[in-house]
Amino acid sequence: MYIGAFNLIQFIDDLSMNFVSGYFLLFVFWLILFYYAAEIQHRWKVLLAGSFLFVLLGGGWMVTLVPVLATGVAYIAAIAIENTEKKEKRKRKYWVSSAVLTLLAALAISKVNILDPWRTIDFIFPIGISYYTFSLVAYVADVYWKRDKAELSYWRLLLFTLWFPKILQGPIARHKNLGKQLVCGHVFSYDNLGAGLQLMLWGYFKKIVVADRLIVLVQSSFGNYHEHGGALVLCMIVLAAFQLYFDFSGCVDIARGISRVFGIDLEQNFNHPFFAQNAAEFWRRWHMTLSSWFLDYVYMPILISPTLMKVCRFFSNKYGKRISMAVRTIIPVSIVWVFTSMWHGTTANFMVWGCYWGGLIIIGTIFNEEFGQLARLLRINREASSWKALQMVRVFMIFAVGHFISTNRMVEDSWEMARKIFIDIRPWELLDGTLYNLGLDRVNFEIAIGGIVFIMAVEVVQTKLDIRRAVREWNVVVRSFVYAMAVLLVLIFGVWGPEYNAAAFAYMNF
Amino acid sequence: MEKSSKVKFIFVSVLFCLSCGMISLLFIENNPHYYDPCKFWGKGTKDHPYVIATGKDLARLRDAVNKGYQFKDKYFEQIFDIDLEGDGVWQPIGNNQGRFFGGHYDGRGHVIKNLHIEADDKAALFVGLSGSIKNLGLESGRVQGEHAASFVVSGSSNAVIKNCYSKVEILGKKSAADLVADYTGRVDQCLYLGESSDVLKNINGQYIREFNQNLRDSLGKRQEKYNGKKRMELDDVCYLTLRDGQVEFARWGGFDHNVPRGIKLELARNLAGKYSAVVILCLVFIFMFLRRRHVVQAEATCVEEAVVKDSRAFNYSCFLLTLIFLVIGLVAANKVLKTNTIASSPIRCFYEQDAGKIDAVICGSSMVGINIDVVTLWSEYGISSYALWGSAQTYWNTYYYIEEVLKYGRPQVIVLDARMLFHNVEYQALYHQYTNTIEMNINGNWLENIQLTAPQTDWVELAVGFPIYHARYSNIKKNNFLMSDIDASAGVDKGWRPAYGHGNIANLYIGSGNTNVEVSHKQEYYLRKIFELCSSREIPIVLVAAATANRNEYLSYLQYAESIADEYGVNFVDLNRKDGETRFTKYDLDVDNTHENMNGARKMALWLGKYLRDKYQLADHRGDPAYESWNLYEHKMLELLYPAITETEDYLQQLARNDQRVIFIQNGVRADDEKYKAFLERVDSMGISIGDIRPELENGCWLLEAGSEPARRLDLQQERRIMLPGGHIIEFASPTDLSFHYDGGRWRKPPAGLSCIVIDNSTGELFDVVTLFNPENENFEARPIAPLETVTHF
Repeated sequence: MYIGAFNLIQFIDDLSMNFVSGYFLLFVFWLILFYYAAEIQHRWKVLLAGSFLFVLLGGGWMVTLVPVLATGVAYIAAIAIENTEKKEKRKRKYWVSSAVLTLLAALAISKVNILDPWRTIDFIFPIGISYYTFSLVAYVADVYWKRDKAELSYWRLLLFTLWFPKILQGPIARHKNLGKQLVCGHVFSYDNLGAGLQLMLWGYFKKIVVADRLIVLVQSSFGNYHEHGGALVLCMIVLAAFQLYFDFSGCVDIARGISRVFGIDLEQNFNHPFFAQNAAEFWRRWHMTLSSWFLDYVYMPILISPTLMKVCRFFSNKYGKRISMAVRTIIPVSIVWVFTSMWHGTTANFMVWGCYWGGLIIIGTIFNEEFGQLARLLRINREASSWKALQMVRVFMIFAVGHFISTNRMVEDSWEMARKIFIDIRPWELLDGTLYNLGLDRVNFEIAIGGIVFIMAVEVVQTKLDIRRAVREWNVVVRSFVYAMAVLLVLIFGVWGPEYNAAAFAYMNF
Repeated sequence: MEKSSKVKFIFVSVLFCLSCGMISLLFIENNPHYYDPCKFWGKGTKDHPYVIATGKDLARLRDAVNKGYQFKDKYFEQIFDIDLEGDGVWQPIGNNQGRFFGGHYDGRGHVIKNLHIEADDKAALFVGLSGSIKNLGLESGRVQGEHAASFVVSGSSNAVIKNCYSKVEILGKKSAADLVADYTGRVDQCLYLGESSDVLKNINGQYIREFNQNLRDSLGKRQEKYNGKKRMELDDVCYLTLRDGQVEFARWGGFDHNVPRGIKLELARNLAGKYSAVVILCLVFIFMFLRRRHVVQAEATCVEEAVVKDSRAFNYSCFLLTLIFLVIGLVAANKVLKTNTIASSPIRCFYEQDAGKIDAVICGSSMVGINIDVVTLWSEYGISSYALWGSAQTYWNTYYYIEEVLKYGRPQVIVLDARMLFHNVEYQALYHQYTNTIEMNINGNWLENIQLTAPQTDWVELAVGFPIYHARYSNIKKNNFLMSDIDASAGVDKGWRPAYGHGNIANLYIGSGNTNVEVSHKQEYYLRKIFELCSSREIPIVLVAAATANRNEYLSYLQYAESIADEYGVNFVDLNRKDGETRFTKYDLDVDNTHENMNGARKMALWLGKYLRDKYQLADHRGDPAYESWNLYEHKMLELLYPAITETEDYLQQLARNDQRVIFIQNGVRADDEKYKAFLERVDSMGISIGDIRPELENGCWLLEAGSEPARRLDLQQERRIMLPGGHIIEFASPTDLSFHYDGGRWRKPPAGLSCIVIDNSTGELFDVVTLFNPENENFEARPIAPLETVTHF
């Protein structure tokens, strides 16, 4: 019916940059048809036209202009860098720094704009700017460091910037991996189609069945936490952490699934983050493309910079090796976290959030030895699975608390909530039905909890087995039945349609 | 040029042109200044005029005219009142650059409100006119410019303005005229009613002042008659003319009671417009696909890690099988979610009826669908009636329902809800549509109903239905797969959906006076259409307002409804004024102000049944085997919906045995009520402590006291809602006010583990028995209750 009743005006109204809309799926459907109908060497042009149209229809001319210009900057800079002799270091430096600064300046302006409480500058927020800016900065830097070749066609680079599944919520793509895949043209393969649709389905399950359901609960209880006891607040903090993970990873799965249908592999963005054993490992598993970007383009350059070496040598001479090592950890990690928190937002709550994570990671790294000794002293077997499970819970709680710090716009709210958890507990609220009065009735609450358990169970199995591949090798009847039922499950239990107001993507404004 | 490259060139250029066309189409569609005559409903001919329904349509007309499109000899009709508030400053239709309106604009007796025009030079609704304007009122606003007038500045000699009035304020820097300025055409039967001093300085000022005085006198008289009804000035004193020095009144504009031809959607064209994009896309796709076969498959420029394990046929069979499973699953889910999760909607059950046997069809919103007891109409008077209603059903929904009714049968009388006239909406919320459009048979009526009831953006959702009701899974119960409460397929269900509420009667709002509720013109329009439809088929209508609590609020509006009914010779019944005859009391209301519980519905039906029988000579069909389904319905409803008083004794004994003392008593009964004295004595004699039942003499109610032992057991300080093990909910007004709403009443738990009985104090009957404190003991078998003998006892 959606396919039939194609209505242009409505299409434009409804596309509005949202994965959860029939019109978005319709758009993807038509793009797939055109992609595989075109000649193989022209297929990338279909993708470019489609992506351009998508951004244009979703955002308008002004929004489209920003990535178009940003791509121009990166394109010219990359070619200039590549054409400059290696000896002319200053010229190369000039090109790379001016390009990177231009791109980051655009990002900074947009950040200031959306988070500026007084709204002094009033212009449209360019969608996905943090994601493609980082991609382009990485591209220019890679060309500078000769890890990547400059793209000779502006249009191909533009496709890399605008590629529509990733422009909304990442992952932050690297030109090295994605650039060639986008333009080389892929022959139709059932395997790609099947795998892509499968991944999309899983993403939709996470997003609209679990995350969009939980957000009702989370928003309503965070909104008036004054009325609830600490136990309930704690419960909501845990659920909010799950909500964020399922929402974000669900959307990335949808984006990856769509790309896969076109034969394109986007980078993985999550690697079972809730199974991490410590804070640093968590960030290697959570939003991996962002962390690896900071690792490659902020952390490593600082770590190997001569200035830091000098500073370390100074500390080493004056206070000894231990302190020097600590400084060597503290400086780059702090800088990375200043930038990470700025990437997420420029308000006070994000500053606190950045200090929180940065501090934890620094402490964990510096005192790693001491923690080991302590564990030996207490005769804790750090290899035991129970200890590992405990560590996972610990990291999860660290993450959940961090998330709730970053959710509250006012830091005082976080304080008040923390106070409630310890002083005003009211545990009976978990059992006497208050839980079901917060926006989700009993059935919906149970579906949400069931969804969380199911997804986490699947993740546990995934660590040992490639489930998606295994499913694809099942008996054809069973497989088809399972697929059909899964689609039905998402359709029925999904939070979509007029009776719900699907939650906007949590990460879309970043 | 080689052949292949020639083909390639042609292909590429065609594709390019097409995509350019598509892209430009996208922006043209999106461009507010773009004009496409097809955007109006209708054809622009005299018989099928373009329809102006909203301010947006009017703006589209204006923009088109200002772009140079004259609409020469095209016809426009305004079908609703247009309020331009929020549109800011309005530009005139037509401008100085020789662009003007050349068509015929018929306001059909409607008005434009809040018309705020500010122009540098000439300011009026139309600047330049060579066509006609008829039957249009400018209700409020202000026209400001160098040369200002209400309707037209600078019209040609063939222009006509007829039957119009204006109340806008005119502020002209150089000249200000009442209706027209610099105008050589005709002005017939038009009037300026405004207060603008600029205009009154004009030469016509003397006449205008006289007109206004006369009009105001006349309005004043009617004002008394209609008791402050707001709309009256427009519809009743609609135009007046000066002829031989005499002011003549006539109905302004007159209401053209024919079916508005414009609103009948030009389906084919609409669809063509809608699907043209699909057709273009398909053509391009097919073209590309075919073309591709002629090109030698270019070598892939990058290596595919093609892991094609299974054969192509195998893969596609998987795809196909998935689709088949999905379709089967969707059909099944659709069935369960749509028809089984809530009691089937009255229209769905209607299709199962033998429509020829229905004598009285009850149409409208819950004001009649809940408030009139179909069982009583049958059991007391033998009237075979059917409640064909929907949630907040608007008159356009009702109109199409009645059309459906007339397709299958010819009822003796139609009982129509009067209250919806004041439900002032342009469109209806989607969640109401389950009962108002979705369950209709798919046909022309269904399509038109959908188009009227929702904006275009929602049509697909509404037509498919699934997006709206897929969320109903939380209503699925075991019974949905086994049986419905009443078997709809056998045509037994007669559409009535009784309410079980027990309102917080002490707080019921009785209403205290007139409020500023506007009569909805879309509703009025379709109410009149219903009247016309039925009078053309010679089916009598009774316009009924069921008794409600907030009656005073609607008094003047019901009088207005009565005046419309009078116009068509339709009988109007306001049951609010008949409390003496119906013996309706506030205890007959459900939890809210407007819905009655089963007792109230029965009282309404007792009165109305008599009225219908006497007035329309409806036959008594009781005992007629052809009408067996009404017998079955009565039997089933009594069996399922009314609890048995006969078992109270047993339950009370069980209560005593269990040493439970919690008794809920619904408030609303005086302490000296004989029935309750008897009941309390009975309770006392059984050894149940009556200390838990405290009389609240001030309210004349019995209330469970907050903080008392039973209240504490139920943890009422924390909770307002109690979920009973059977799934029913008792919801309290507040922790301190224990009057409650109970959503159950169909099934009763057996006495094991009994701890709470629910009593309806207004009838003195046991309503339900539930277990509160023994949730682990859940293996109760739900069983139906014997018919209530005392159901006729009030």
